[in-house]
Amino acid sequence: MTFISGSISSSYFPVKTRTRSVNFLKTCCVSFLLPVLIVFFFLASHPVKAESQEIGQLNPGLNDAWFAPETSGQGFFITVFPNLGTVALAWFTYDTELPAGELQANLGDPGHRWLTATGPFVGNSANLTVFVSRGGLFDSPEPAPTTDPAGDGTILLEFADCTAGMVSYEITSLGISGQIPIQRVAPGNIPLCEALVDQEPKTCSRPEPDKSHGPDNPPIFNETIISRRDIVDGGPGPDGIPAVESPIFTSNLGSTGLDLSELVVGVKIGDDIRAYPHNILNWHEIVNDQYTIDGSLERASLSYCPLTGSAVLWKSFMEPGDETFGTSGVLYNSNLILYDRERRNFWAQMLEQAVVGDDVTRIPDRLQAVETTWGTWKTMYPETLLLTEQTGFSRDYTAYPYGDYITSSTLLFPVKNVNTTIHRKVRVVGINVGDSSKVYQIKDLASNVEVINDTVGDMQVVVAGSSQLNFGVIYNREMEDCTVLDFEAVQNKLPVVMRDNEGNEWDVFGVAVSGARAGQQLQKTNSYIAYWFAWTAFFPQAVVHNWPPGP
Amino acid sequence: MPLLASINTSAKEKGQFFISYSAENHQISDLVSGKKDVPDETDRDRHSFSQVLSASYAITDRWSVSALVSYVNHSRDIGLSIIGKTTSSGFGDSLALVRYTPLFFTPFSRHEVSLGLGMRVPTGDDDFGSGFVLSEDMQPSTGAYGGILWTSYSYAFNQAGTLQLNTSANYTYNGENDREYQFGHEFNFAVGLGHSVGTRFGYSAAVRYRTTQNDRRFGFDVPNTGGEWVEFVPAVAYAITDKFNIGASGRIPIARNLNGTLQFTTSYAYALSLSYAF
Repeated sequence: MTFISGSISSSYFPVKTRTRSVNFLKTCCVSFLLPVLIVFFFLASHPVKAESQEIGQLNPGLNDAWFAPETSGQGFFITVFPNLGTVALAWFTYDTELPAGELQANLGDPGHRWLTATGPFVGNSANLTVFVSRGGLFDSPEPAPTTDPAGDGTILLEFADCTAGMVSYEITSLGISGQIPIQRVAPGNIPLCEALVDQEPKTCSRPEPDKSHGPDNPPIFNETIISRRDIVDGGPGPDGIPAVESPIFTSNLGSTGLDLSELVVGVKIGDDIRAYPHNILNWHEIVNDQYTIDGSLERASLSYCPLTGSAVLWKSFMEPGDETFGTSGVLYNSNLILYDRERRNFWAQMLEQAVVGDDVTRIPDRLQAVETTWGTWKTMYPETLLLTEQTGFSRDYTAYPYGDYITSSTLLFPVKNVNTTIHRKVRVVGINVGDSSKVYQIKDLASNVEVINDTVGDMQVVVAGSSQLNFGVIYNREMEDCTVLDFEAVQNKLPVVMRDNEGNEWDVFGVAVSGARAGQQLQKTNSYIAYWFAWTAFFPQAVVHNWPPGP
Repeated sequence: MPLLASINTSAKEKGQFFISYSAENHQISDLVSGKKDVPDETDRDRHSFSQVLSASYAITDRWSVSALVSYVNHSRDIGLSIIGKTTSSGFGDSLALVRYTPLFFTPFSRHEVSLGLGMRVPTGDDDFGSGFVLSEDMQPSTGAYGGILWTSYSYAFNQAGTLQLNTSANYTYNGENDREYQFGHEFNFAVGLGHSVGTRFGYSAAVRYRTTQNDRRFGFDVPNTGGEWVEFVPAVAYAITDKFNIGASGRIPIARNLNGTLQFTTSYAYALSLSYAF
C-alpha cells in the first residue's frame, strides 16, 4: 500500500476549475503543470470517447489515468495486475469541505486528499477496499502514514469497454457514497486494451442442459411431484428384486460364456471400464458399485429397468451414510423406482430425480453409460471387466424373467400417454431439451456407424449410433467456446465413432481422442436408450426422427 | 382359495340352516422356478390370513343355496430390506352358490353326486394401499366378477358310510377388474378318503390337483403367473354336539410346475373351521 501510494504523484492530475485552484497554481511548478493543465482542459472539453469493444475481463490495457470531465480536478490512476487478479486504484481528490482560509500547506493545497484502493477483479468489474491515508511527510519515512487496516469503505470499479468505466464508491467511515463515470485522460492505451480484449477467450451462451428430464421446478404436493395413484406396486416388494451390492468382475473374458449379441451396459470412468450384462441386470435392476472419480473412490449406482429397457448411471451422494440404492418394489409408468437407503426417497429412474420424499426434485450427478452388445463393447474396450454371475443370489441368468415381453406389445403395468406410432418395444435413443423431445430408432440407424447432426429444441446435438453394432448416444455438439462442431462417422475404429469438421476424432463417450481438442468432452445430454412406449409415456411430446419414413 | 375350500360344506336336509366360519393362514414364501425350488436369499415372508363366513339353506333335500363372505389380511415382508412390511386388509370377494344334489346317500344308495353353480361378486375392498396402488396379489378382493362350476362325487364303502371316497372338481372363470387385470381361470380336482371313527370324530386325506392359466393384464399374459400344483390335503373333524362341529385342515405341496422363470408360491396352509347346523 505504501509503495502504491508513494508511486503516485499528485502533480500528475489537472486542477479543478474551482476557486481554490488558484492557490494550487501559486504553489506548484508552473513550468510542469502548465502543459498538463492545457492538456486536461482540452481533454475535459474533448473527452476520449470512441466506439470500443465490450470488455469481458479487465486487462492491463486499462492501466491509465482516468477522470470525469465534470469533476476534472480529481482523477484516478488504475493499474490492473492480471497475474494477481487484482486492481490497484489511486484517487486524487479534495477534502469534503474547503479548508479554512488561514490554513496553509507547505506542499500543495491543504484541501488536497488522496485515497487508495485494492481488490480482486472478476470479469469486467473489481470490488475494491478503499483506504484513506493519514499522516506522513513529503519524501520522508517518518512519521509513516497510517490507514485503517479494515478499510474505509468500498469501490466497485466497472468497465463497459476500453474507453469508459464507472467508479461507485461508498466510504462508510465518512458516510458518503456516489458514482463517477470515468474516461481516459489520453487514448494511448486503448489499442492495447482492445488487443487484449481480442485475446480473451470467447464467451458464449451455450445452453446448459436442463437439470432434469421434466420441468426443472415442478409443483410439489404432499412430498411428491407425481400422483401417488400413478405409482403401482410391482409385486416383489421393496428389495424383492435384490440389488447387487458387492459386484464381482472378471477380466477373463474368454470364459464368460456371454453371447456376443447379448446387450450390456458399458461404463468407462477414467481407467475403470466395466460391462454389466442385461441378463444379470434383468434379475437385479441395480448394481451399487464404486469407481475412481476425480481421483477418489466414489459410489455410483447403475440401474436398469427391464420393463422400460432403460439404463442410467448416477453418482451416490448421501454422505455420510448409506449411499446405496435398492428397488422400491413400486413402478411409475412401468418404470423402476429406486429408493435411497439413507433417506428413503423414491427416485423415478427415467426422470433421474427424486419424486417422493424429503428430497423430492433432487437430481443426482448423472454419468454417461453406453448400451450396446457384448461383442461391440468388447471390440471397443478389450480391456473391459465384465460383471460375473457371482451376485450372491440364486438366479437363472440364462433365462429372461418376463416371457415374450421384450418382443411383444405386452404391457404389464399401466402407463400414461400410450403412443403406438411405432412398436412399443422398439429401442430408441431419446433426448429431452426443454419442452422438446426426440427419439432415434436404433434399428433404423445405418448398419455401420451413422452420425446425425441435428437440433433439438435450442440445442445442437450429434447422434452417433449403429443398428448392427447396436448402440446410440447423443451429445451436445456446441462446445464451451461456442464452436458448433459438425460431425461425420468414422468406421472400423471403435471406440472412435466420429470426426468433427476441425479434424478431431471422438469416442463413443464423447471424448476427443485426437486432434487439437484431444481430451475435451462433449457435453452430456438428457438422453439414454429406452423402449418407445416408455419414452413417450414419460415424454409425450417426443417425435420420432425421420417419421414417417420417406418413400 | 378360501372361498373354494368352503363350498364343499353346506346344508343337506330340507329346511336345514348351516353356518360355518373358517380361518386359513396361507404362507406363500416358496420360490420356485418351473418344478425346481430356488433358495430365496431375500428372506421373503408373504402370508395371507383369510376368514370366511358362510350360510347355507337347504330348500329341499336336493336343492340348497349358499352365500359366503370373506375378510382378508395380506402381509409381505422382505427380510433383506430395510423397508418394513407391507400389509393390507379388508373384505374380500363374496360368493353365491346354488347346489343341486341329484343323488345322495340313502340306505339304498352309496353314491352321492352334487352339482353347483356360483357367482363370485367383488363386494370387498380393492385398490387398497397407503398412497400407492398395491399389487393384485395384495388386494383383499380380486375386484372382478367370476363364475364357478362345481361338482362332487362320493362313494361310501359301507352302508354306515364311515369310509368314503370323495372326489370334487370345480372351475372358476375370473373376470377383469377395473385395473384391467384378470386372474387366471382355475381348475381344481381332488380325490381322497374320509373315515369316521365313532360318531364324533372323522379324518380325511386327499390329493388335490390345481391348475391356473396365466393372469392377464391389458389382454396380455402376465409372466410368472399360473401353473400346476399337486397338494396333500389332510383334515380332521370333531362333532362337539350333533349340531356343532369343529375341524382343521392343511395343504402341503407335493409337486408343482409353474409358468415362467420364477414364482413365489404356497409353502403351506392350514385352516380351522367351526360349523353349526340347525
